[in-house]
Amino acid sequence: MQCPSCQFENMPGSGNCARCGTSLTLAAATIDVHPPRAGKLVRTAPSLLGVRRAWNRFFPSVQSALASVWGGSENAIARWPTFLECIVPGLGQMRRGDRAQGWLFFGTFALLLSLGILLMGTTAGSLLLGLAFAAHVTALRDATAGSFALLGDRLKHALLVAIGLFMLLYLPAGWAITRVGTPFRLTQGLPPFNQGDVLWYSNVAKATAGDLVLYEVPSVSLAGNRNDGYPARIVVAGQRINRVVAGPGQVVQWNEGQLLVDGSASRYQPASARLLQMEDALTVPRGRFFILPDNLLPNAVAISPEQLLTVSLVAEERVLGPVFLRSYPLNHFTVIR
Amino acid sequence: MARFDKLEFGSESEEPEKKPVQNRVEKDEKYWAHLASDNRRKGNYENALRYYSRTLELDKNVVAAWVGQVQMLVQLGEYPQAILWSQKALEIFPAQSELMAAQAQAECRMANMKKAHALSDGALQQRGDSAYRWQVRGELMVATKQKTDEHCFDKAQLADRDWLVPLESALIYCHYKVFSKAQLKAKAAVEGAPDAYHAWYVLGVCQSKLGFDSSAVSSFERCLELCPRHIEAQRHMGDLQQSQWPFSRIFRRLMNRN
Repeated sequence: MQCPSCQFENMPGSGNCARCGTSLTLAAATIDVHPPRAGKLVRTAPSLLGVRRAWNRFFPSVQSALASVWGGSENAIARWPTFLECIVPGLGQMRRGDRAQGWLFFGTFALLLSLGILLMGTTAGSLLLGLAFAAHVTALRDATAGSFALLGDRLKHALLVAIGLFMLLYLPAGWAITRVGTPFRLTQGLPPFNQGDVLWYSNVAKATAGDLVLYEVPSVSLAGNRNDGYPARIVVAGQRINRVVAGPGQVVQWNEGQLLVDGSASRYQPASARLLQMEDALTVPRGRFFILPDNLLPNAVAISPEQLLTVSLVAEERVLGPVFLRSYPLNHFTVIR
Repeated sequence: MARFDKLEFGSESEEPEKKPVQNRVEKDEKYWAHLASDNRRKGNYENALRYYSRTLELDKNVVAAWVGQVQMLVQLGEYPQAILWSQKALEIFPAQSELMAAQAQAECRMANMKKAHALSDGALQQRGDSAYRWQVRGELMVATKQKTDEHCFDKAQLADRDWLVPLESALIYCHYKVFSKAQLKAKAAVEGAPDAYHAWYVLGVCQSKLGFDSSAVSSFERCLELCPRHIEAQRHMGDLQQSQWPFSRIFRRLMNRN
């Protein structure tokens, strides 16, 4: 009885081929001979299959490349030194024995990153951070490139490394930094700060009385009189930085040229006494802050107290957060309390 | 006696009725296998797959049909299904070299290179020799950018002189976008079978990818002479006959450089 697979002559009556084990009673067996077919979704969206193939192609090459750098098996990829090599540019090259190249990558990245962080919020800072990212991608791509002959393959590999690094490292790191503080650059002078200064504010911490905050002034048109008696109209809008004098529920009143909060003299008095001439005590409503409008209005215009209150009582949602740091210019690096 | 005059005995004019010879084709497993092979040579992989299944409905012992099914699934781009089916076939025919090679090809297309290499090694270690095992080996070399791919495809050609071998080698090269080598294989196929329109079509595709538009037009024209209803050839002809920016042609040549 000849085996259909290897053509070996078996004894009559044998159930399986003595050489290859193929069943010799296949004709009597009930076997489905129609192969499974790809679903409609895969046929209409072949990119789904392409994602799987790209993963199968990309991940093992990174695994094997890092394994060769690490000197261990590919199963060691999940260990922490491998992740360290992805985070620290140049470490892979150093472990490979190419110390000069490793230090070059690391030094370049460290310098660009440091300067970028110092100048964060400025155009130069953004540029330096971008260059640091590029240096990191280059270092990691050099460590994991393998042998790609075609230009297209090299470009694809570089793109995958850049996207992976951005999604897995830089995006979470950026999110974490924004939880601490957000830089912004002043487009106009707000005494005591100058135009071009980079300040950091926290959009997580809640503002309290005494904090210097960045807030959005409610857009309002105020009517007043100039010092020479002529009427004037002022439109107030935009972002300002000022001190929170009183929080929700606190009582603010003006007494003998002094601003009182909850009966005691406030530590923060307005720069100009004419600014707040309230006759009655004011309880700061819930969901609002009382913020001194020191740099809000020109000195040459007198505004009624009622109108001043409209720009002094700021809704909580308009307060972006307390300002805690001035990072630029570097010679005026200050922690703000 | 007159009444017996008209009796007929042994009349030569009367001949027994001849029944017409019926050239009925017996649709056995060989018939369906032949039909599957024929469709495969024409590039009709879906039909070929169905005919391989018909072959197996009649005789499950036809290993070539099992192999053919996996090969057609690979040609149709259904790689996970090809892997599944080859695994099932290997359960029935353990250590069958062609099936191992077919699974290796499907694994290679899914970029599972380790498994593909192991299966290809296993296939080559089995008894006998076949073109398909060497073709799959060549595909692995192409996929991993190694330089021995030409040697493997040459071995395949030596094992089987059929013109389908260089044609399928060309299709492998096309899949990995190595169009310069694909063109050479397609030319060999065309020389082996000048009347095979699918070979002319594949040659035309390779030439158009390399930027040899006039040669590609000639190839597609020849394909359409042999098969006037070839839709893909008509589409490619239409694309080529439209004016193109030279920069796109230069960029195509640059990206396909190897």
